[in-house]
This record gives sequence, structure tokens and C-alpha cells, in this order.
Amino acid sequence: MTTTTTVPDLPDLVPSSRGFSAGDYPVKKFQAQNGAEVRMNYGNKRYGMTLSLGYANIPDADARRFLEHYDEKTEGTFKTFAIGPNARDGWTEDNKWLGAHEWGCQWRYAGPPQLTSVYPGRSSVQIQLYAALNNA
Amino acid sequence: MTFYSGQNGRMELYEPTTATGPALSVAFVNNGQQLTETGAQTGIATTVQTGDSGSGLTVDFEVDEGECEQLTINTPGSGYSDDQVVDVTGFADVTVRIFRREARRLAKVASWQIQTNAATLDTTTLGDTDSTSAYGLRESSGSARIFYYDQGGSNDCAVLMKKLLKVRNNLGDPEFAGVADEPELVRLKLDVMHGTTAKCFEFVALITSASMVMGVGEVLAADIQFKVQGAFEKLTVLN
Repeated sequence: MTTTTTVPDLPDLVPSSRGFSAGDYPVKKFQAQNGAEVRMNYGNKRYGMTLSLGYANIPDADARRFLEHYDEKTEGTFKTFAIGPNARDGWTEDNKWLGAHEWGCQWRYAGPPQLTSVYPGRSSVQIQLYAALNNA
Repeated sequence: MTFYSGQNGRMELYEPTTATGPALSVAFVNNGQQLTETGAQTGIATTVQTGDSGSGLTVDFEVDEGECEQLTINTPGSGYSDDQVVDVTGFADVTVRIFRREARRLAKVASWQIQTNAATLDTTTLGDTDSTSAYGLRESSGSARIFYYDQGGSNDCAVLMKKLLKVRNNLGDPEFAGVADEPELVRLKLDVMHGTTAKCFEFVALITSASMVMGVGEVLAADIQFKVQGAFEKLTVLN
């Protein structure tokens, strides 16, 4: 089952750390017994990008926005959504290279946000996103 | 304009008094749960537990979200001993510990020093060119130098060192070679005397280090280091 409901973007805070993995095309490898290898590309869209965003020592009110987004807006890992421009702040090249939309993918949570309380009123949040191809 | 020097400094240690008397300070042992009362409670009577003595202590406190807080003495009463626990009348399961500990000036303190540091939490984000921070945990610690002396069985240097150093239990039994009493918390007061009144740092502390060096041409002294437990209880030195 897929959804067409418009989901609000990820809370648009500037992260303090970011990791990106570029995914791959739907390539299947066939290997002969002698070791020779043939690869077939079954599509023209790259998918499976992952984006990890860390928000260190942010106010609890901002941390709550991620929990709220995960619970009430995306229903956990169910619905897809877009990320705001601030998620790529500090990257000086074209945003598409740290994105998924260009290849027909949309972000969804790969797992629940991880929250660590560090001080009264302050927490650190780590989120992991996964880009899936639209079912279109 | 008044300046202060070493002549204005002194150090005090809170110690339990052996005699019974009025409550000098109090703290909750149990502060209740799901109490129906709300707001300020004034002059609430207390009841001594079976086998204990003392009478007349009344306390003030507030009930917030079903729990008691902000405890102070209203009437100190009489006949109480240090570390005695009393029930708060009319408040189920609320109990209060009475302290009879008085500050006593430690003799032969050559110097004391105290410092407070605040940790910082890095709030720098991607795209920033300069780091930003928020306040994190505060931590206070200090040290004191106390001369070792003998005077009629009194020796404040030893009094303070005994809070950290403990003789092993079950002497002669090798099985218990590694067992001794735990170090004690101390309540200290570092004073800056202004005439007859003291402007002070007052706090509970852990003695974290005690060292002595005996040397030719030097008076034996102990260097004590301590770490403040939690926040200061009084900071009249800043008034």
C-alpha cells in the first residue's frame, strides 16, 4: 500500500553532522563458475540513498519536532517526505548530489529518531533516512 | 573600600553535635506521593518516631504536583538528636530528617582555594565558520592547606583527613584486607570575614585527595582537595 497524502517536510534545522551514501542502480551480478562476471542494469534510476543527520545539543523543543514528525506526520517509516534546504547546509555543490528527488526517489525514515538527553532542556538527535523509488 | 587578605579567611566544617537540642536544619527523607493538599503549608507539626525523643518542631513546605518541596524550619523545637527522622503530622508517608550539625572553625588553615568551571555543549552546525556553544554542567572544586599539630588531643588536620582515610576492618583477617569504611561527605564553609560577619561559600563536598609531605625545614601540613557535591548551598560571598 502506498500513500499520496502530502507529508510536511522534515523539521528544517541545520544539522551538526551529516553522512550520505549514494545508493546504487538496480544492478544484478551473474557470476560464472570460472569467476567471470556479468552485470545487468535493470533500471535507469539510482535508489537506496541513505542520509544520516545529527543534531547535537539542540533545545528539547526542537528535538520534540523530530519525534512529532516521525509519529504524527509520517506514521513512522510508512510515509515519504521531502527534506528542507537546511539539511544540506554547508554543502557548496549542487544540492541534487546529496539528494534523492532527482532520481525519482523520496525520503522515508529508515528507523526511529535516536534521542540522547545531554543536559536539562537539551538533547541530541540522530536520524537515518532512506530513499526509495516512487511506485509510479 | 574594603579589601580582603589571608587574615580575613577561615574555613569551617559542619560536624554533628552530640547533645540533644533544637533542629538546626532539616531535609525530606520521603516527600510524599499523590498528596491531595496543594500550595504552601505553614507551621505543620511533626511526630517523633517510637523510641526517639524531642518535641515542638514545626516545618513549612510547599506541595506541588502531589509532592512536598521547599522544606524549612518554622519552629525548631527541642530535645532532638542529629540524624533523627520524624513524621510530618497529617501527611501520609512524609518524613523529615533532622540535622544538628554546627559549623566549627578549623584551626591552622594556611590557605584555601576554590574554583568553578562550566562545561560547554557544542552547538555549531554545518555551514558555520565559527563555533557556538551552550552552557553545560557546572563543576566546582577546591583545595586547602592545613598544618598538622597537636593541642590537647585536638587536630583539625586529622579531623579532615579522617573523612577520606579509613582503617581497614577486621584487622588480622587477610580475607578482609580490602575492606574499610567508605569516605564521608563533608559540609564545608569557606569564609571571608567582614568584621564579625562571614561572607561565605557553603557546600557539601567529597574529599578527593589528601597528601602530606614531611621535609627538613618545613612544617608538616596536609594538602586537601575536594569536589563540591551539586550546587552551593550558600554564596553570601557574592552579596
